[in-house]
Amino acid sequence: MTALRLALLELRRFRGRPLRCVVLGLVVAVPILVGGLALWSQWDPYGSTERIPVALVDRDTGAVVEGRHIDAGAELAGQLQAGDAFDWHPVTETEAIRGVTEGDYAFAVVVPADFSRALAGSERPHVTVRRDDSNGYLSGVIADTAALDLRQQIDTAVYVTAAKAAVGDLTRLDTGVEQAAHAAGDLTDDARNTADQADRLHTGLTDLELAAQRLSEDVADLRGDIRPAESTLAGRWPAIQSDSRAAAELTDGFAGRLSDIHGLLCDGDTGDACRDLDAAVADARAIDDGVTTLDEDIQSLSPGGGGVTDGRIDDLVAESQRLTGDTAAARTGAERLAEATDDFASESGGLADTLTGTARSLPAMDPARNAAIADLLGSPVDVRNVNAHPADVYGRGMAPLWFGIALWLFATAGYLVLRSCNPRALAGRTRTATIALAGWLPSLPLAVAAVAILYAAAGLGLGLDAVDPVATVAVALSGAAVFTAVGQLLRLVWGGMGGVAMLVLLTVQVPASGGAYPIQTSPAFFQALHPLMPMTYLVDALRITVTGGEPRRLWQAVLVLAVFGVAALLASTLVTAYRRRWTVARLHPVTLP
Amino acid sequence: MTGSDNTPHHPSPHHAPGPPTLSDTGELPAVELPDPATRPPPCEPPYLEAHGLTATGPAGPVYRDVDLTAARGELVALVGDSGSGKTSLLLTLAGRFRHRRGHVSVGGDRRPEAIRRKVAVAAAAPAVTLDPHHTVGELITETILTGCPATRDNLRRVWELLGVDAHTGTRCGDLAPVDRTLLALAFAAAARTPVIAVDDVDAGLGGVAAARVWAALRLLADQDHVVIATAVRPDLTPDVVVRLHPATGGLPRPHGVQAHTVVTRVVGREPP
Repeated sequence: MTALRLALLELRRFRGRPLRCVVLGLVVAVPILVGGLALWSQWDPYGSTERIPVALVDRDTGAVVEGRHIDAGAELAGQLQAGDAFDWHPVTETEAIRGVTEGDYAFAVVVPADFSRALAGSERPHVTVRRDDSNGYLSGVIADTAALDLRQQIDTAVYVTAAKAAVGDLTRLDTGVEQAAHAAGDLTDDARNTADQADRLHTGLTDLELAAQRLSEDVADLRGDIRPAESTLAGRWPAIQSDSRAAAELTDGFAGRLSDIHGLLCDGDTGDACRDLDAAVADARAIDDGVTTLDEDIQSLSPGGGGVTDGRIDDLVAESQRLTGDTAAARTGAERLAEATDDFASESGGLADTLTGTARSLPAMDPARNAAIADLLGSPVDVRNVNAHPADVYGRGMAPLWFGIALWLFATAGYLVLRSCNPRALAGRTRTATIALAGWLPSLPLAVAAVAILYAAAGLGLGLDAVDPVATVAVALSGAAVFTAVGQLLRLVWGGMGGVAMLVLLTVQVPASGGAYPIQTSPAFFQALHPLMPMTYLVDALRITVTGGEPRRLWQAVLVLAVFGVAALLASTLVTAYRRRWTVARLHPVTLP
Repeated sequence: MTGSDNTPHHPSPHHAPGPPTLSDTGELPAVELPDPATRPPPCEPPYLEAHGLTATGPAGPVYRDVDLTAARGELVALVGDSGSGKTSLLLTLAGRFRHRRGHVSVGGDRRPEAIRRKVAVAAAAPAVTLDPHHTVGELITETILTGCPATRDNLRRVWELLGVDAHTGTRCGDLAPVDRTLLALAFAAAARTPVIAVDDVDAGLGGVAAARVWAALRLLADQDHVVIATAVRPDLTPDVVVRLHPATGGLPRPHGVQAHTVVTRVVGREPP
């Protein structure tokens, strides 16, 4: 309670004079000034490379291969300018050198005069990237990052040029293959229709077979009771005759149609599809013949007309049985036919697909398509990235580190303005722990305001879009509280020089926290410091709350952070106890003006 | 070592002449004994004692071999130029300074924590000051929070006793220097400790204002406190004067120049 009231008194020191309020306001604004501005300025540098001016020099004079002129340089230039990796400026080499030297261009890509010749001569052609790190080292690093893309563009150009040199006018070939693919597609449709018809034929024949069977049974019954049967048969006969006629016409038409397809497609061709088709045509002919014979039989028979004798009936029975057998044979044939045409249809469908694929894989006028093919050819293995918790943009990935830096500087600035402890309490009778606590508590309301402003700016202004906003704010707040406890401790120990110590700690902590580059890439010094620095744990915890991650790791980080805070407060208490007696050095502190 | 003996004292003209009192070690002084009628020896044992106090800083000794005794009701003045170690000695006597040799005993207790409970420090810049940005009201709150058992009642009593003239809404920095010092004294006295220590009582004060402060100090001493005050000039009449030599202003002393202290017990004053 005493600690709270003393903390309140500490803050009340800043009332009254406007300038003193402004100072306190500046402390609160430190995080947004540091973290907010830094994050804003580099929120998405890799997403804005298309604004980086880059010179493009094409000195390629081309080459003649087997009578054909090729120009890989022009191809490359076109390819690069079609993409939006950079803001390309096609210029002369002199201008490019001048521009790079004077900083007008971040770097220049120079295609040498013998680029096409080297390519035609099966040498390894080269492209020069002229950089000048006085234009900013990182624009070069971005160039390196984009070099993969650049390489792919170069690969594409080389591939297209080489293909042109090998096959000549690709556009025509491309068009031809596309037409062939279309034709094959049409053929497939035809074959599908045919297969449908064969199916229908099969169904028709099945019906016919059933009718013939019934007929044969009826005829057999005639032996017993000829009259009624005769009249029944006579009644049914015209229907049977017309069914049979229709079947004969169907098979005839089908066989003719199939034969036409065969003639169209397989003129002297001996491919698998054609052989199948051949067999199908033969089948269709055989069926047609069978059905036609059957039909003729049926048409010639005339059960009506009276005067039917036993012998005639016997004939009729035999005839009808033969009819049943023939129809069954025809049905089986039709079944086979249906399968064959179906097979053909799927095969010609495959052909159509292959042709379409070929047409697509041929170099064309579309740079994006060419790039995709070159990529496929150049990197046969695709690396698939599975990112459990993607940060998406640079700024979002760097936010935890910048939050850490911002809050550390907040703590530093805070204890340049706030007193580490109340001197009258120190000389008075207040308990030591209370004094230490009362020195730390005034920083908390400032931390709440500072974190709120920082998070509002990052969340609403920049689109931080934290996975867990509440946890992010809570973690940032605990980070600020721990950092201010450290700031208070250093101010207690070194007085005014405590701020300097905080800055030194910051410079050590930032590389040691592993917030930018993986800690494994840092020298052993920083790796040794990595687990000993509070910022490490703040960055770890914020990463999980901002981009997501294992909650167990979050709790671990927060716990370690809390241990740092408690340790700092305990140390502050011990230092406060020691400082209840002054020394000459403290009465006459040696500080810079 | 120069401070352990009672050296002969030549009182100021406005003091009644008299012999020195008994030295703090109980030895007989080298000079003639005073007439017991004019200056009776203290009937109480000394409340505050210091023996062989020496403190050193980065630039050498700050003060050396200070011996001192004071009874309750006595006013002790530590006198010296700026930089002569007055503040350090004051804080040492208040149990709030790390000295190198010797000891301080207050009320028979030598432990610094125990001494601190018996000594209130009114002001000792830069260690203990009243924040100029606080209002008097806020300082009263601060006093009550840090100076247990400084209650509002205690404070009101000394406030009236010392004639402090300050409104609670006034910022401390806007008070007249004399009022600021009186305010600090009132705050210290409100804690009701046997000893009150105050630094630089005459800093920035003219003769009249300084006289007001000395009068206030005497008033407090008469309230059965031991009052220790540092000053550049001991204008009025303390019971014990400790002169610190020489001032270095924080700079190293020239070679061969040693810090030394002269302790004088003023005679001829009426006992409290």
